[in-house]
Amino acid sequence: MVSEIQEETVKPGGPFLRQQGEPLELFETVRLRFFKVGHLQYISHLDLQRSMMRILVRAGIPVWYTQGFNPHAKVVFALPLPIGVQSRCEYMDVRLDRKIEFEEVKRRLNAALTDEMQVLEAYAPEMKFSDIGYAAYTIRFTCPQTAFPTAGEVEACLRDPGTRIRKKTKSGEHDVATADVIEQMKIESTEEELRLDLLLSAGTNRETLSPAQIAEEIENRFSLYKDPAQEHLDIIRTSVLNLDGVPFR
Amino acid sequence: MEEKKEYAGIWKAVQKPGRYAGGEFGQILKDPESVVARFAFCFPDSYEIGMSNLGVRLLYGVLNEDPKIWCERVYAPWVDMQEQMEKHNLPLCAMESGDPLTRFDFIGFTLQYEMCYTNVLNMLRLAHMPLYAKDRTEDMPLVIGGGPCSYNAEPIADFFDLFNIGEGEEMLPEIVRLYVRMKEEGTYTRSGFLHEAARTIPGVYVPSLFEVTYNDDGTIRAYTPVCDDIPRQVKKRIVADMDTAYFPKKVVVPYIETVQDRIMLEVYRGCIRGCRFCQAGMVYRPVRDKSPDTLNEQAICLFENTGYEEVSLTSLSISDYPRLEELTDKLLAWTVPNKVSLSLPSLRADSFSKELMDKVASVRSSSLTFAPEAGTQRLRDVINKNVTEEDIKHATGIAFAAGKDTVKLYFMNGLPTETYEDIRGIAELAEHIVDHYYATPGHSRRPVTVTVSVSCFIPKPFTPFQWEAQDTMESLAEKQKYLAECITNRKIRYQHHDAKVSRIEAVLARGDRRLSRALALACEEGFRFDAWDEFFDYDKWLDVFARCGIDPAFYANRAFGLDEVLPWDIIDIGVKKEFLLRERAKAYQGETTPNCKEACSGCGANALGGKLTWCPKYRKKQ
Repeated sequence: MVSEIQEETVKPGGPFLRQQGEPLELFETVRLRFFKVGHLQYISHLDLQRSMMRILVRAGIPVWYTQGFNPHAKVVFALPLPIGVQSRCEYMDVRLDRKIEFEEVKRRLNAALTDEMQVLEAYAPEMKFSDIGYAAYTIRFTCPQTAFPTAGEVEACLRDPGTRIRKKTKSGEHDVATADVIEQMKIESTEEELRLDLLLSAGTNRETLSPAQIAEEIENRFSLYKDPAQEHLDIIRTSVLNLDGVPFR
Repeated sequence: MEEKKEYAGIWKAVQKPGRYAGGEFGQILKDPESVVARFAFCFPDSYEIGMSNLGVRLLYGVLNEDPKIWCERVYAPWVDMQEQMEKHNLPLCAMESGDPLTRFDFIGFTLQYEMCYTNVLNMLRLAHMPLYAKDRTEDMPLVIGGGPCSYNAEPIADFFDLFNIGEGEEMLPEIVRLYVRMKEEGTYTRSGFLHEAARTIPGVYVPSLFEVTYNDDGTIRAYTPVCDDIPRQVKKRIVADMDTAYFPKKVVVPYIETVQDRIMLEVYRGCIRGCRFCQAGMVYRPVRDKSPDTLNEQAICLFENTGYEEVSLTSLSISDYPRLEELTDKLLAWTVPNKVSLSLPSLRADSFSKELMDKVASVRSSSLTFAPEAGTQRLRDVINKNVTEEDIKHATGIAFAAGKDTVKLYFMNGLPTETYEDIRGIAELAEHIVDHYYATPGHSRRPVTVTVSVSCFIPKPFTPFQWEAQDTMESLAEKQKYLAECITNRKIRYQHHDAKVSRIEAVLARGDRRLSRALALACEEGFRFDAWDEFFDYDKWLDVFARCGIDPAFYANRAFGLDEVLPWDIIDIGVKKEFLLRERAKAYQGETTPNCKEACSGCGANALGGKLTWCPKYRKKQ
């Protein structure tokens, strides 16, 4: 049932302008799962974070602001998404300062976004972001001029402890073995495409590699043909799991 | 949910691919089969700069209102992207559709500053278009231009089919609709369209319809129209009523950070001040404003459609707006509770008040900048700045009392009649402001910083100083050195512009059609992004001019004759040459002219019409 309070505070579909001296009613966190595909794969995580505030404001979401000298909204993202990677399971928590139905949050946000980024679910968080342990990706090489390596060759390459990728972090550079971050893999090689379904370790304080880096390693190792003007590589994050391997909620 | 499968692989090889990917909220997509005219709106600089331009937002919106027109955006690819495009022989494409520019009906450039000309040509080259208009064939897109530099676009006239002279929100759709009509009727030919546009649409300038002849001394003899049914002079277009003028309710909201990443509220057009060096102050006359109610409604509308966290009141001198208090009160009523900050750039020292300062500071601290332009009252009177040292002290005093400890002052070197005394005056004025800080009760405990930023005077078309010779490089360098010696106080920071850039800018600003050879050669030599210090190369410019037999001093450092035919005489901006001459004479007498709110000095711009609510004559008539 749509509560009466909601009618008073945030009118569905109508403009949302805060009035001076409005009291804060409650703090409630909504978790949003959204996809980010197409052209938006070229928008960096930092730019998305910066833009999210504007998206929430133009959607008329009653975001809660910190009460300090420089008020800012409480918006937290689960995992950053590298440039060039699409996703159908991005997670973001937003703290609200008044009653609004979660379905209404989803509806409003989707109207304030383009069709390359839409909210799929809005719900009360069940797990913590720090519970995240794995993320699944599909990597597809589709360039027709390429004779693809066999699934066995690719698997052997990724399982080889000697296949290491240089990783830059704040604290410096180090090499990470692909075998150490790949929890599961399924590889298919046909005439049309080479497809890798990888479950990679993810989350804070865990050794990780970007799927884009792994794809680049495969490209280089097997000298796959690159056509700069065309599709040849498609990477998408398909699901996120917690440390116990349970789908993240 | 759509997963995009195709993309340009080179986006992964360049920095900030968000510059090229598009996909922003607010971009307009149409079915190319459903439109008659496709318009590629090109901004000849980076995405970050181009996305910040208010005029582009306006014209993108107004063209796309028409279901038969699809306007898309194009920005100059950054050098890394250009390298990739050339390496793989990929043409320049529009952001929305990703289609190459050769597939369009119009390629339109907005010409915001002279130093972007090399980018204009470079973009045409990257689009695989012939540079010269005469070399383009019937089925190729028309290349058109507009914006401030089109008031003297002669140096690039040979590359363009048509220019918009004046404000575009009414004229540009008229031009494209004429094309649509002729296409639908089956009467379109390239030359037929250009002739018809020049004949029937006021403000249209078709360079190929005028022949230019020159005197033996290199000056212009005459502009002669090649047909007798077009106006002999092109009159600037204006929008009569700003309250009812087209306003884009939705704008493209970029994901990546741009220079002006905020709501820009155009409060009024034109400027009442009449500073004698300032082109904007002359070419945008007469002053026309929007009412506070209109502006407030538009700001709320944009806030709801974009979610921007800042509103900037943009006009040439915002504190001249007579109803500024009413406007800011209306805005602050909703901006404060919605955490939106209000910024007021372009404040003048003589109309700066404590109330205004409190309003700006009420949401966010913003830095304070004033532009005395000259160091002595004598020279400030020559340029008609109408700001006194007392005004500057008064304004900075308010800021200091409120706890500000930095102020920036803009000046110019090389102004007509400038002496070394005037230059020393800059240092002295800055010194006085430092003293004033410590004499102001309630100033902060931190030490004060007064930044002195000095640019070089460039004589610009359609100003009372359009005939003046630019100071030579040697003289400017000496003056800059002298000023550095005069500034001894460590609380004063001194910055100055590169005189080399200013000289090339002067050549292009006052140039004629003979410069096109040099620009074409510059393009061939790979010039681009000349507005960026890291890419500007003065010696290469000199080399290009020399190879084309062009003496840059003829355009930059020569005093133009008062009776000489000027390259921009083909354009009528409303302000009469007699007025500019009158103002020039007064400058040399050190006499000032009252601003347009106090008294009308009869510049001629009122004859263009418009709702002139600030004009004393107009008010009397009402």
